[in-house]
Amino acid sequence: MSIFHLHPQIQYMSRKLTYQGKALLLGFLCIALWWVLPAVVKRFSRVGVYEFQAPSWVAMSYLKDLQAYWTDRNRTENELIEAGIDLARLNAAYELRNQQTDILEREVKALEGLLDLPSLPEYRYEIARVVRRDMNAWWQQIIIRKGRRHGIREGQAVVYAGGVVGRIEQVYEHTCVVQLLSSPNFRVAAHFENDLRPIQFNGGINQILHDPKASLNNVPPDIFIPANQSIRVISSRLGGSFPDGLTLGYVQSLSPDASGLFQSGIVTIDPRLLSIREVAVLIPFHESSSMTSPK
Amino acid sequence: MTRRQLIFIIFVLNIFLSILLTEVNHFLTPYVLFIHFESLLILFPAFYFQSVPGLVLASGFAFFIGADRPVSLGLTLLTFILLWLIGNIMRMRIRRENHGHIATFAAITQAITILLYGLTFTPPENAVAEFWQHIVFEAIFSACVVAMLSGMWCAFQRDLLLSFGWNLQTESQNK
Repeated sequence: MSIFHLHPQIQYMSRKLTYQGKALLLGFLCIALWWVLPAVVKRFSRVGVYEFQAPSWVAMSYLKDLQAYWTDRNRTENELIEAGIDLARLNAAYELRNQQTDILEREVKALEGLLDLPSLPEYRYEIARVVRRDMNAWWQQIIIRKGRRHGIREGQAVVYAGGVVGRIEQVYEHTCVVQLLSSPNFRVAAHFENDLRPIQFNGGINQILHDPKASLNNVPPDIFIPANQSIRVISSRLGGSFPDGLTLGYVQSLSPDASGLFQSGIVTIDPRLLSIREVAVLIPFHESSSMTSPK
Repeated sequence: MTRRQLIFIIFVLNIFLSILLTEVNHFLTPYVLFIHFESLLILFPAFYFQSVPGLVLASGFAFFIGADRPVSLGLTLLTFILLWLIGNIMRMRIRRENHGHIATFAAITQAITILLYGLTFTPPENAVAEFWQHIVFEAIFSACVVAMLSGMWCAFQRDLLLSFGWNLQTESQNK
């Protein structure tokens, strides 16, 4: 047997190695090609692929709505009558509250005129259904069924019955991505319900099978929370995108931070945030005045 | 049907699977659970297709999965190509018809992917322990789910192509 005659197994391996070498080369070429591509092309490809698959998510969302509709159709007449009575009571309560709000708004306008203050920003509510929810260790986001076409822009506030949902992170033609307040990168100026001094609200404490939590920083040292009580943390208009007074969460205890100058605490966020199905985007009137919302 | 059309069918099937798993993730949100399934999409292109179609498929999946994530598309592309490369290199040592081999490969690559993502993110200053606990749990949970599905998913795609007259198993043995 010649010394150059290779064992069949080695011949087989060398053939396979050639194939793997080719794969390796192709892989590296592909990565290098992506590396040298201009940012515009990368951005375009991302947006293009997103817009291409967005209709499938929206279609799934409509299917879920249809499913919910047929589930509701199976409800008995008694259940519907009871729901109608409850709604009528709620409507009556809200009508009373609207009258009180009108009076308060007039007072605010009068005070603004007296003190020569700039008027507070006003918003319109763009209601949107949630298409997708993604909650993991890195990002906590939802995709909603309204987009640029409806006047939504990046950075706008998103709210629901429980308070703040988050802020708009990316806007596409018919959908947009909302960064939730439980997301690790979420930061916003806040304050306590009865104290106007600003504090910092940071999202990001998310444990499996636990309600979402956030942290508070830069809390003044003189604020004290009595045992077995909690204080509501609300949004501040200092950040620019959120109006004042929307619930962010509740804090039960505070402790001195590392510097000793301020306090910090853990905020409990409403667990309804994790199963949210409909939200409202707050669009400032000065941004939406030139736009018309399609029906 | 031509081979290009068949590869396109596989691509569409995998996209359908990813939409399905996305819907599962949607319903898991009240429990703050998430299934990562990158390696499930890579298995078939890496183990059954030749270099070029496999790479094209892997890159296509990277674009689809990465488009709606708040991470750079380059990172997703890099991860998918890396997984495809590992699959290609492991081809010699792995018996594709052995579900145990496929499941083990899928679980390990999925866990590696999640840890790789974890290293590229900066955890919140005050919740580093919670962040890593969450990542480790997600890695274990996703690896288990992906391992359970991997064998069935590969066998289904292989049998589908066989029913269209493309025997990938014989073709690769004769190569």
